[in-house]
Amino acid sequence: MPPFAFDRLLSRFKSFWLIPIVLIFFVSALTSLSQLKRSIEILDERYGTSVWSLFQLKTELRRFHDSLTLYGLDNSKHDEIVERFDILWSRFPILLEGEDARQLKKIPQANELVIEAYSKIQSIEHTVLQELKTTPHLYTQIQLELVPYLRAVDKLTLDNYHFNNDFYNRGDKRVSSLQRQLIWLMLGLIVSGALLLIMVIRESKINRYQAEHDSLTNMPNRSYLRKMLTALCNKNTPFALHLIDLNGFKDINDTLGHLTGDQLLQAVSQRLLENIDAPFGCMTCRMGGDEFAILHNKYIDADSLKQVSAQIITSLEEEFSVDGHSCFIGGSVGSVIYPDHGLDASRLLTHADIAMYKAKENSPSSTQITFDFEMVASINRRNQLQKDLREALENNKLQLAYQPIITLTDHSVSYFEALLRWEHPLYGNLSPLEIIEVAEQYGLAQQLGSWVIDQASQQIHLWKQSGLPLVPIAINISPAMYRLDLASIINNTLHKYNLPPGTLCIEVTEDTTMQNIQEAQIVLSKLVENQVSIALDDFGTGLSSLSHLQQMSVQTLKIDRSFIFDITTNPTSNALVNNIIGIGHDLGMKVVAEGIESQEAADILQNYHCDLGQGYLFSKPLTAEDAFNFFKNKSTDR
Amino acid sequence: MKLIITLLSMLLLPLTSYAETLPSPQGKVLLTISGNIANSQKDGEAKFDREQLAKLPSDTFILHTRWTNKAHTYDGPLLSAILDHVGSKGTTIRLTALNDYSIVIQKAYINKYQPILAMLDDGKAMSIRDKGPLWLLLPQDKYPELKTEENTGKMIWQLSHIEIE
Repeated sequence: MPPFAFDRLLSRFKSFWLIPIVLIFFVSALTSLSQLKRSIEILDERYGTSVWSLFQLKTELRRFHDSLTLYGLDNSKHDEIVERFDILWSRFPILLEGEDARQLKKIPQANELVIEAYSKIQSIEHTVLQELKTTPHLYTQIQLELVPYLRAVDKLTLDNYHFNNDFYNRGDKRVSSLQRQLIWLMLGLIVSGALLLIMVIRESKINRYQAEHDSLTNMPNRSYLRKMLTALCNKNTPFALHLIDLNGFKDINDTLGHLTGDQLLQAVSQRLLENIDAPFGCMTCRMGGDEFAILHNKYIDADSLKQVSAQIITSLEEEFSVDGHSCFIGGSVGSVIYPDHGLDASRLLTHADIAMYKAKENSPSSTQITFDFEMVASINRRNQLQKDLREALENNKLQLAYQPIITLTDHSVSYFEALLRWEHPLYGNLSPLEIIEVAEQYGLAQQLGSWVIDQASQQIHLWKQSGLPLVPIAINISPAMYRLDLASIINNTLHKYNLPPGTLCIEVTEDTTMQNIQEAQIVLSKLVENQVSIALDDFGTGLSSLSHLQQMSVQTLKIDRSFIFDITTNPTSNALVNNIIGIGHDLGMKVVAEGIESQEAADILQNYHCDLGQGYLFSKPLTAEDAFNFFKNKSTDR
Repeated sequence: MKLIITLLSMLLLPLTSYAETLPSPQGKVLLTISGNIANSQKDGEAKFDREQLAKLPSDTFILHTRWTNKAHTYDGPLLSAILDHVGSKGTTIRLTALNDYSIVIQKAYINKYQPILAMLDDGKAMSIRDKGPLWLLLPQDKYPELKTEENTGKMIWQLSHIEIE
């Protein structure tokens, strides 16, 4: 904002000033117009030819008078007297009709005098035309009668001349006085017009500033940033853009109130201004909420980008003291570089957003991630999978594969582990891990879990109908399932297919279980109550401690394949497996070895009294039909 | 010989008829034209009475001049017709009134505006007392530029004499 005092004065009393200024403007304009019209009227006024006509009358009177004298000397030319008399006569109507008459009426008594003189001329007509012919000496008498009119017309002629002069002088004076007033009016017009112009410019400047700045922090806003980005893109010089989302801001807003939250945002913007904008020549904008953007238009290389982003994170991680509270936040920074990551503002902002969300995954710790086009690919893949998974669940396009778990002593099938299979039309066979991740991310996990439970139960039922004995199936459940009443769902499903309890087993991973140990324990104990057997999957790689193992109601321990695959060559693995089997047995659990691929390994494990085994040595995961045949063959083998 | 004379006189006839002798006016002379003219009566002067002037090509103007309160209809011969009639050869025309008021106009001006010498005002012959007997009128109704002071001043009344220079 321009700081000069006049501007502040205007802004403070804006509405107070506006009305008088507009009034002055219009009054000046209207009065100027009427003054101008008046001036034109005055200049247009004509006094006309009455001066000339009166002089002519005066001359003709005199000429007639003189011709009478001449007639007195030589009375042979009566014709000439008559002509002079007629000419004199002709001068009167001119002064009694038309413009000259109108002008003459402005002089007091003028019209009356002309009428009187005209009557006099008319009264002597007979004398002049007739009597004078025979009685020439009558001319003196006529002259005597004319004398008073000669004098009176002389005087009137002069008066009229003066009046005429005065008239023009008066007109000039009136015009010049109007012109003087006009100067003031024009001044009023110019000054009020200029003031109005200033106000309009000022208002539009304020409006533009408000449209492009954030009201809380006074920083440029998203629309200003977009404009800057577009301008920079057009200049075609490299620059970087960092999008920042504050970590933990929501908690502060929720616990300390919005007022403190707002103050924190102000403090953040102040700190970014001081620590980033000033030293690095950047421009910080507030995008809304707790999101900021820093335009780094002096970007040189990856190092300078790292330098700025590191400084952003350092600045945000330092303590903020707001309203007597000490706040610690942080930031997730997503960075993009023009032109590497996009050629226009929209694309750059979207990609910075993607990178920022990627960084946000590490929240609450502050990280910076530079955009990578693979992020888009993975996001696109996720979006596609999410849509398709919904559809696949509805249309029963998912499948379960069954891998047998073998009793190591007699190689009989103990049970099957159901593994999720999805042949995606675009991405091909998807790993169960990705399917579950997508399901978890988009709220389909419970639906998926229920589908798996139903599908596995149905399979047991079908096999049973095909003449197999009851073969239990173990299914994997995802963390989201802990939020459901898993026991009832399983019970209901088993009931639906007329299956006894215990035919469906649950495999949980260490990681998911340990994350929600409280919830997990409640759910798991309830399952145990309902005779659902629980296996702990991938044991040895996750977070579980032995004490957890003791607390948890687990019946089966599955040793992770990473210990098994080098059991024949690595003495450490060998020793660990031996001991895990021992611990499992000691805790009253059955032990399963995953990923057995060689007979040698199977032998060692059997040696260590491992109960069960799973792996390609025995069978890969099979379709329901193949699994059926596999089971039948194994039964007849024995 | 007779034939030769006849042929010669036939050849000379057009030359002699170039300088025509105009018939003399029978009534009161209203207008005298002198100066550079081909046709005259005597002493290089051509005089016209009312009857002669009335025979020439004329025009009618309906004008509201500054000297009347309403419009009047004026009739009279075209000045250009009178000048043609007298075989005017000059370009500068001086017109003089009974009271010695006099103006000068150019032939081109006359050709352009075609003024009349009004003899009738609303059908009545104009006397000296009514700005007659001849009043040079310009068609101010057709040409607004003729309403200026200077042009109005050229509307000479009580016209009695024209001199071609």
